[in-house]
Amino acid sequence: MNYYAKPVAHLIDQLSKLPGIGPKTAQRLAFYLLGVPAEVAYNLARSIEKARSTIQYCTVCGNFTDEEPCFICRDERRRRDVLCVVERPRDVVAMEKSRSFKGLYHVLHGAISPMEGVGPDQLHIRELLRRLEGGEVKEMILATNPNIEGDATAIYLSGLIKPLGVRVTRIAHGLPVGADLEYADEITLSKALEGRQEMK
Amino acid sequence: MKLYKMEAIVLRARDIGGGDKLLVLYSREYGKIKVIAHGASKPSSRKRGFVQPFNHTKFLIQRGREIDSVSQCEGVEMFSFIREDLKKIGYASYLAELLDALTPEGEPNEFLFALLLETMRLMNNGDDEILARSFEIKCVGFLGYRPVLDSCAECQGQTGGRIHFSSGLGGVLCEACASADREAVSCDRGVVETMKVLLSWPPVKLRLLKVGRPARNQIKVLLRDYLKYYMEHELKSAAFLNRFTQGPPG
Ligand SMILES: [Zn+2]
Ligand SMILES: [Zn+2]
Repeated sequence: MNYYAKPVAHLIDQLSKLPGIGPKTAQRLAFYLLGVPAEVAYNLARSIEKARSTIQYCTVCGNFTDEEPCFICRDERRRRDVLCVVERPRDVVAMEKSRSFKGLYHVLHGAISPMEGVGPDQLHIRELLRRLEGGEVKEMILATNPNIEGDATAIYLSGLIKPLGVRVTRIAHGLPVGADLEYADEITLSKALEGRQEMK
Repeated sequence: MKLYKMEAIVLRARDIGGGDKLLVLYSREYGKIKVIAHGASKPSSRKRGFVQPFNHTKFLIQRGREIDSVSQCEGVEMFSFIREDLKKIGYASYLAELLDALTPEGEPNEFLFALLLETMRLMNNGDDEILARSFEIKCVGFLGYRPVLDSCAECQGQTGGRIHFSSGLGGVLCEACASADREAVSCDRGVVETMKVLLSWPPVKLRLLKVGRPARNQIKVLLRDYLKYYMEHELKSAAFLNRFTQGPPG
């Protein structure tokens, strides 16, 4: 049974492949795009094409960029002796929003996961080691997620990097702002305690 | 609104978007079961810490039309010593992936639940490799595929002289029957005796068992080959373990 003209069915099909988009939402988006002025839909199509064709991984830090190296790696006001290691480009955005980090980043593009078959070789770890060769980096802050994969990645990197004489720390996964202490689970609490800092 | 309780170990937790997680649990009451934990990836979620792999958790589950979901949960054991050690993460991942691969959904088996729980507890200061071998052989045993080790799997006779092990014929073969399976491998009597111990001794007693490196390697390869008969696919965590532990790839 065919309810849609072929191009419409194709559009719905493509949209429903996006994360978090079910068939119903895909249908709604498709009809929206067909109902708005043509220029609105074309702009969307063009910006997807532009982003895909110009954005690549920064050869230094692995973040998404349209210039080489990226604007963060080029920024001379940033500290070059401290690296923050994250799993995904979106984690760089989260860290930047917090405005609390003034060093450079390194994006691993994933995390070690035995059950998903992701080992160190599939991550951007060789690139990280190359950055440490110069001896300029004195501290590496691991900002991997507080789950099994993030823990495994942090343990592996720490074992690899510490012998090089670089200080390795991990961000404290403490209580999120606004969360009540009583609702926190043990792991969150113990991690928050482990990562505690001296009071000034 | 239909609710039911269960006690389970989290085998897998996968992000499925929107902050939700799809969990594969092994429960005491219902065996393997898949449920959704809504919002469990969000930092403010009360469920977040309890739905991570390897956690032993009590669940209140809500029946759904397509899939059931976590209504409430309460942590029983967190096994934090596992997540602090890369090798233990590898072994625990392997146990979880193996149980997931060997069991169908919705078939309770209290022995398997207790075996996984006890094995993970003993990983705190036990021999992870021996515990994994005991888990493998007991697991297939509880599922009805116990390898024949006391007599020849083909002729039921005594196994004097050279012993062979055949995954295809389900156990050891005597010298006369060794040709019945061209892929049967010759193995030491000591290796067979150790496999009997791994099958029959309770895991807690295994710390008394001393096994040398060559025997460990052969048992690993034999059991890995035997398990392949009962699984549809290779285990990804096995490759990870090969990299981070001693012994041959299996
Ligand atoms: Zn960069
Ligand atoms: Zn025989």
